[in-house]
Order: sequence, then C-alpha cells, then structure tokens
Amino acid sequence: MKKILEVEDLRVYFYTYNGVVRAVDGVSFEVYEGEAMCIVGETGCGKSVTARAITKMIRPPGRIVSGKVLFNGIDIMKLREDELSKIRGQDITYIYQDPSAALDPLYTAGYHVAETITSHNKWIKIREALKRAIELFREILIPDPEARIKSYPHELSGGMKQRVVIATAVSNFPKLIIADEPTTALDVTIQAQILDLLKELRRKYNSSILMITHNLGIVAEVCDRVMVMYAGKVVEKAYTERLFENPFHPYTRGLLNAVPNPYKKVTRLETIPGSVPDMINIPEGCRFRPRCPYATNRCFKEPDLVEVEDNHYASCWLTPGCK
Amino acid sequence: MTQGWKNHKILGISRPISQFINEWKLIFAVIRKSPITTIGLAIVMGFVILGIVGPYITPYDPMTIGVTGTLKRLHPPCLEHPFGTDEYGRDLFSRVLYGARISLIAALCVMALAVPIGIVLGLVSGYYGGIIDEIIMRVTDIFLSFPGLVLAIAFSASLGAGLTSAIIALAAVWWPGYVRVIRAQVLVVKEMLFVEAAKAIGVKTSRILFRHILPNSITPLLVLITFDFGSVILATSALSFIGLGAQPPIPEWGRLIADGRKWFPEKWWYSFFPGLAILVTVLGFNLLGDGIRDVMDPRYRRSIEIKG
Amino acid sequence: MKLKITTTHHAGLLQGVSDMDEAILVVRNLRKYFPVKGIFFTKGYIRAVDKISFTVPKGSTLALVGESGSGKSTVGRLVLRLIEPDDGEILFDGVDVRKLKNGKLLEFRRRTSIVFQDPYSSLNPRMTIYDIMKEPIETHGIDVGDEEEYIVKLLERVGLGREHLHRFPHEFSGGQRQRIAIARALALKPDLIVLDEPTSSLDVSVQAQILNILRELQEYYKLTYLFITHDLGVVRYIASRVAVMYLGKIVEISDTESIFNSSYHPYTKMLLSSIPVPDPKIARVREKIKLVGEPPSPLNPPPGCRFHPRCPYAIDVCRKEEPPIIDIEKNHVVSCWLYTKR
Repeated sequence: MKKILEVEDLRVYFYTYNGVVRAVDGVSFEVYEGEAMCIVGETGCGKSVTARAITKMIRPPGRIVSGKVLFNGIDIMKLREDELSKIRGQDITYIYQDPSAALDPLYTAGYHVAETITSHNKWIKIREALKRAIELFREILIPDPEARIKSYPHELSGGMKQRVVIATAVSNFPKLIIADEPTTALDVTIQAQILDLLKELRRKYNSSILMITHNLGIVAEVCDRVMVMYAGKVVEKAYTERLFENPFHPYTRGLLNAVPNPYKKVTRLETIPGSVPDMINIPEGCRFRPRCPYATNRCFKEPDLVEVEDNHYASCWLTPGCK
Repeated sequence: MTQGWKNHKILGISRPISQFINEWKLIFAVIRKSPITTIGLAIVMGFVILGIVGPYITPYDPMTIGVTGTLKRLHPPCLEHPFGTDEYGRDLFSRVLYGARISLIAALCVMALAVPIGIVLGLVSGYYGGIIDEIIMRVTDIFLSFPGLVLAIAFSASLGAGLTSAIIALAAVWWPGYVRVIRAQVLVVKEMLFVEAAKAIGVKTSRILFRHILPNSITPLLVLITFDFGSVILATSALSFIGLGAQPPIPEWGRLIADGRKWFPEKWWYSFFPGLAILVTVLGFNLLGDGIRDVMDPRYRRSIEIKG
Repeated sequence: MKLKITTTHHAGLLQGVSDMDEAILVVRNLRKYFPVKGIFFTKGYIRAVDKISFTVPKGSTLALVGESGSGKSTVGRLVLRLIEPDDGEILFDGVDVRKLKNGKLLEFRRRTSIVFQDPYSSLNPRMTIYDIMKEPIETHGIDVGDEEEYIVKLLERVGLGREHLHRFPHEFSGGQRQRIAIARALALKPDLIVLDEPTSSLDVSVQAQILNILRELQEYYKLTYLFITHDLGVVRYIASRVAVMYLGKIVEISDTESIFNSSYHPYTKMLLSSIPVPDPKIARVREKIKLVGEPPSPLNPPPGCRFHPRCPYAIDVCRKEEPPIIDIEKNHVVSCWLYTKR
C-alpha cells in the first residue's frame, strides 16, 4: 500500500512563561492511501497539535523543534510558506470541531466552496465554481442545494454548517483530509450522518482521512487503524480491531475500560487513578508510570515503540517485544 | 458557626494572610514588568502623597498675601521660588503644591458621588431588565445628553460659584457612564452558571448582586475609574479656569492658569507650572489606567509568557 | 398519598412506580413555552417542554435523554423552579413546588441541588473553594459544628483535600471543578440532585471517576438523581430508569435494561443505532436505522407526532394527531401510534 503521509519523530514544544511544554515529543506514524487513520487520546495528549503541525500551522509560543513530515515523498517541513499554501486546501484539507468558527459569517455557504476552488484553480471562474458547489452540496445530501448556496452561516444549523465545511474540504479532491474532532459539537444523530458521509466520501474520492478524536466509539466505527497518544507520545498503534480485541498498553486498556459501552451491562467502570501529568514537569521515564498499576523499576527508563505482533506497536516494557 | 475560621478572618477575607499577600505580590510583579505602567503608578502615588502631605511641607504659606514682600512680585523662577511668584508675591511652588490636594479632594468627591450611583443603577438595570431597565436607561440617556458645562453653569447660578457646585455638577454628568459600563457586564455575568447555582442554593437576591455579580463586573469599571480620575481633574480645572469652579484665593490649578493668563507670555511661569502639573497628573492616571487594563487582560499575561 | 387515575394518559405514568408513596418527584403535564419577541409583539413560541409527565422513585436515578432542542435541560430547571413553569404540576415529596413561597421555598432549595454541565462557569471565579462551599451552609443557617472540618470532609468525599480549601477555581482542572460542584451540591444533605450533563465536557477517564463517585454518594447518602444526558453509555451505567425526549415531548420511559434490550419508539431505536459503539465487531454488524433530515425547530413543531417527518414508519394518523401514551410492558410506556393496535 502506498504511503500518503509519513511523520517521523515530530517534536513540537511550547515555550511558555512557566516552562517548556513538550506537547508532541517524538511522534511517528504513517497514513496509507485511501485509509482512515485515527489519533485518539484525551485532553492534553498532543493530538490536535500533531494535526496542526502536519502543515506547519503552529504559532508562537509553539515551535516545531524537529521531525520530518513526508507527504508524497516531499518533506513539508522544508517547504516555504507559498509552497505550503498550495498544498493546504488542495492536497491536505482540514475539518475542525467548530463549524461556526470555520465559516466567515459575511459570506454565503456557496461562496466558501467556490473560493476554495478558485484559489487553487485560478482559471476557473466563480460561476463555474458555484455550479460545482451545487453539485457538491447535492452529493453531501444538503437538501435544496440551489437555495443553500445562497445561505449565510447563521441561517444554517450546526450539522448543516459542518456539511458545508466538509464540502469545502473535498472540493479540490484532496489526498488527505485531517478531521479534528469534527463531530464533538454535534448531536448524536447528526454525528452519525456526518460520519457516514465521511466514510462515503472517502470511498468515492479515495482520500485518506486522519481523524483526531477522544471518542473510542468513533474510532471503532470509522477507522481502519488507530494510534493512541498519551502526554505527547505514541503509546500504541494498531489496526482497529486488534486494538480493541487485544490492547497491550496499560493506558489503552484503562481507556477502553473507562468508556461506558451502551451495548454491555457493566457493574463497575474501572478508572485510571490519578490524572494526566504536568506537561512542563514530565515524570522520568515512561510518562504513564505514575498511574500505571503494573509499573516496575524498569519503567523509569522510557520504553520504545516496538512491534508486538503483526502491525501492532506498543510502547511498554511489559510487552513481549521489549524484553 | 464562625468557630472554624481560626485566625484568618480580616476584612472578610477567609484565606490565610500569607496567601493574600502573595496574590498582591504577583500583581505588583506583573505591573513592574511594564515600564509605562510603573511610571503611571509612580506619578499617581506621588500625586496622592503630595495631596495628603503637601500643605504641611510648603515652604511658604500659599494663601497669605505679602509674605514675601512686595519686592518679589511676579518674580521668575529662582532658587527660593522654583516656580516663581504671583502678582501678590505669593510663592507659586507652594500654591501649586497645595493645588494637588484640591484636585485630589475634588476628584475623590466626584467619584464618591458618581460611582456608587452608577453601580447601583447599573446592577439593578442589568439584573432585573424589563421596564426597570428601560426607565433607568432612558433617565441615563437624558443625563448623558446634558452638556456638562451648561449644567455647571446652572448649578453655579443656583448654588453660587465655587468648588462645591463644580463637584456636584461633575458628579451629575459623570454617573451615567458608569451605569452603562456596569450594566453591560451585568448582562453577561447574570447568565453565568455560578449565578444560577446561587439561585438554586436559595441565596438572597441582594447577596447574589453584591457577592456574585458585582465582583465579576467590576474590572472594566476599575479601568474606567482610573482614567476618569484624570478626566475629572481636567474637568475641574476647566471649570475653575472659566471661573465656575474654585474661587480665589483657592489655588486650584485651573484657577491658577486663568490668573496667569493676564501676564502670559512675559511672565510665562505663572500659567506654565500649574499647566504642567495638570499634564503630568492626568498623564499618570492614563498610563496607570492603560497598565491596569493590560494587567487584567488574560491575553496580555500570555504574551508575557512568550518572552520566556 | 393516593392519586386518582383519571385518564389513560395518566395510567401509563403510574406504571412507573408500584406505590406512589415511593416517588420523591412527580411531574404531570409540565409545560414551558418561551416567547420569541418580534419588534412590537411576540412572533411565536418555542415549545421547549410540551406537557410531559414522569415520576422518580426515591433513591433511584432517572436519566433524561435527548439531543439538543429536546428540552431536557429545561426540564431540569423547571423541576427546581429555576425557571417558572407555564403549566403543570410538580410534586416534591407530595408538596406542590409551584405554590411554595418564602420559608417553604427555602426549605425546598435546601432539599434539592443542581450540578451543571460546564465546570468552568459554575463556580464563581472570585471566590475560594472555602467560600463557595460555605455559601449554602450560611444561606440556610445550618449548624454543622466546626464549619471548616465539615467542608473538608465533604471535599474528601469527592476525592479532594484540605489543601484545596483556599484556592481559586481557575487553579483546578475540569474534573476537579466538577468534583467541587458535586461537593457543593451535597453540602446540605439534599434529597434530590439534578445533574445537567455533568460529565459531557470531561475526558473519558475523568468521566469514569466522576460517575463512580456519583454512584458511591448515591448509595451512601440515599440520594435521588435526575440525570440529564445525551450519552446512552453513561445512562446504562448510572440510571435505573430512562425517559427519552424529542422536541419537548417524552416518547418513551422504561427501566434501563428494557430500553437497551427492547426499545419501541422509532426515535429511541434510531438514537441507539446512532451512537458510535466502542467495539468494532458490533459496529460492523449491528442493525442501523438511518436517520434522515435535521431536527425541526421547536418554534414550529410539526402537527401530530413531532417525529413523523423523520420517521421511516410514519403512517397517516401520525401526521394528524399526537399519539397517546401507551403501557406496553411492565414499567414501560411509549408514545407512538404504531402500538395502538393492541
């Protein structure tokens, strides 16, 4: 399978008054053509920062300290701003959590899509672009597309706005769509529609999706492969089914046990004791050690990400590959 | 009920004194980081101190005529009289120094009248809304449309020209601005969940207003009050300048400038130094106000982090 | 206290409890419309809560489930009279809440509390934790002995400590703030706590901790919870009974297990099949009922059954008349025309 995106040892640090926050501290992963890859983790694990760092959208006090991001073989980190802006919106597009923030209230929905098309394809006129917008809206199941392209964002519901954002995201047939918690702000039933839509579009356009989420249910429904992040590091990476069936890392296990599954009657939710570490004063060795029920003295040294079974990686001394 | 408070109940603050002191230390540290704010704070503190002790440290009696002898009338600045003397031979340095207290008291009086009225009306108007809000806002609008000068003249005419009528006139013109600022904040704060939580507990409305809503609405007001101190001093001076405020022999700065006009520009020092005093003082309040606004702004605090 | 059964509508309700004396909260025909103001006169009404009825047995947890616009948060506030109801009855321990005044109202406030969704704005940023916890005690003038010790004990119950007493809310994380809010809700040993999406804005692992604390506290203090949420996983874990709301109406009420094993209302089924389930095997295989369209605005709800525009099983009568409340099983009522053939 062809690799669309390859991230190697990415490090993003934030230089704040209180100290250096090592938000992303050596993250490596890949996304293959046409697949849906998930980065899952809780608040502060660095998943959103990773997503933004892929197209160098990190502002001070944050800095991309080191790492390679290979998109179709080219290291994006080495590109200039003008070269980067050709890729953004065309080959790599973003969908964010809050659609209201992504849409300019002064412009109609149709204009947003049309502008994305024309800014990357200068020979296309606005009128043509708007026609394409109507087609897209129809594909994305926005009812009454001809009328909707003239609507302003405040006239649309949350789900509708997110669809408009998705329309802009797919308008230039991107190779990679990065979706950062795209459905967190939406109702459950609308969320299901949007997720189905994303799956459908992926199939149709053969785009890869990099989905950032904290919801393990979404991971199970949408993603082929998944990567679990904790405190700026990757703790586990595998095919979705394997991860749920056979989680290696204690954090992954804790996380899976902490999610109340509506399809299973649970007598007690196992919780992970303690809380996420202070990202400025990171504990020595394995970052999960202070909360891990299986911690030993070995854990004072940071474990590497090792392959524990076929295409299943974990970063823990307890896994067979590490011994 | 109060047995649990042990030894940290002073001025209604229930946390340990050491923690309280630390909080203020932090505020001063942030202020010190900005040189402009520090200058503003220094000027304001200087002004207040001079206002309090000024009259006790004047080298010469600022009021009495003829203390220095008629020979020294309209004498330019020299070692004995750094600001020169006026047409009666009075030392202008002493007079300007005394003027600081006048301005300070005048500004404090105006604020002491306008601010409480503004706060109470703003709280009531914002919290209750409806018809009460409408009435208060219309009255406020009416007062806002009054030209301060006309009102000052009217008060002077009825009460007699003097600092007192100037203060009352200014207070009457100033309170509407505070109503609006407080009301705007109240409208936002009253929707916050902790206010609803207080209602759910059964807290009385008066306590909700003064314990929950007011402390969280006061920040923009503090900035405004700081700037306004300067503005009130300026306005008092303006009124005194045209003859409506302080009357001679009270050495209010505006009054002094007016007196010195006759001899301008040859005996420039007469109007110059009081004018300079006004300039520096108002500037101090403006700088301090800017600084306080920045200190209160969480975004500013974050930009301090970037330099780290 | 016996209640007369007058119509078939009410008959279904009373199936909820075997003995009316056990219910600490009885809500009947509760209604709240919010006026939408035009320039000169009222344009229309948002029918946030439109004649709903339910009961909550003492010591249990009733989950109120729905999406945005369903009215569930409004119900939570109506029940505590934080918003004044337009119509209907709210009986707390047999007493009509709507008629309470002054001293009796204060007593009601003492016996009830609420925990809000947003931990960031439910605590006054200018007050220390000590002040925040002290407020309910002071307001009601309750004698708790050594006040500081009492407050520390409350904080310890939710997993915090004495060292947190004189700190300000902004020094705490979301999960910790929510614990403080829960401790505050417990300060007066209430009988009923309304929880409005208390864990929706928290991380998964923190949510699990909070849910466990809530369960322990319920057992220890014999509390009754009205738990408002949109997360059916949480419902299964914490609730004994579930009421599903759609656009201001209750469409189904039953025991938790019944909702998951055999739900009847099409909306409930759709809701269940929409939640992403954290298990890839089930996700691939389960029966999915596709929901189409957007929820209509509560300003102009459709005539008849409010769900009919999106319901794949809608029949003629659904478009014309509102469905009655039907007892379909023991302790299970549903409001849908499909089940009237019985």
